[in-house]
Amino acid sequence: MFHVEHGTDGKLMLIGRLDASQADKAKKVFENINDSKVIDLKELDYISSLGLGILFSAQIRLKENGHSLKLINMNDHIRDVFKYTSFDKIFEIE
Amino acid sequence: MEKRFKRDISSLQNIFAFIEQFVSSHDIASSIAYPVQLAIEELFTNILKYQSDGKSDVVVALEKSDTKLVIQLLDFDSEPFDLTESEDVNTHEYIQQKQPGGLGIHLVKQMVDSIDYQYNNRTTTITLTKHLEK
Repeated sequence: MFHVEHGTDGKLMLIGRLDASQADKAKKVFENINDSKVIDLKELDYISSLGLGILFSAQIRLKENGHSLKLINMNDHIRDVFKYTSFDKIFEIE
Repeated sequence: MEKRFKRDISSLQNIFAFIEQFVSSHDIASSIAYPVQLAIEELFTNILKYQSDGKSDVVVALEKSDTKLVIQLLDFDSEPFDLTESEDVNTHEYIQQKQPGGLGIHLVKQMVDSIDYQYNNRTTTITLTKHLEK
């Protein structure tokens, strides 16, 4: 399962498994982000193409308005997925 | 090891549980398990999206030998759609065009070593091979 927590420091923490059956939850959250935000993926175990597409759309929309998402604490498997899609080129990843 | 799954997005959690059971009982590394989960999810959701008129369950089969893992998805009520012939996504162009979606098959191609497609009597059989690390 997947859920999102809002940290007291303004970070957004993605927790669990962002698969196609959970994508609507992520979509609702990311559609409502309107400024730059740090997304902590420390507890995100899994992401598939639908989740990637949600992050991608949010990043494109934010960049058009001078903002962006920064992704931190990504595990190696998710890092591979970003590399295979070249999405590592459009996000700041730490 | 194989199992039938209802043709519905709600089956995804049961599919992951089935994969987890197989991975645990066959001592498969997480570096293999992740791409296997991702490939099966992408193919299953592709069936739901592009074969939405189908009525049959979908079979997922997993088999391990010393050197490789063989993954099969069988859809018994489908139209022909050879994903091996789908055009490769140019991810750099994709980013420039700002288009979400269409990445699933691209990821499957990146994450497995071979993909085979067969279609007979309305049955689609997709066979993926993933080599195991030494």
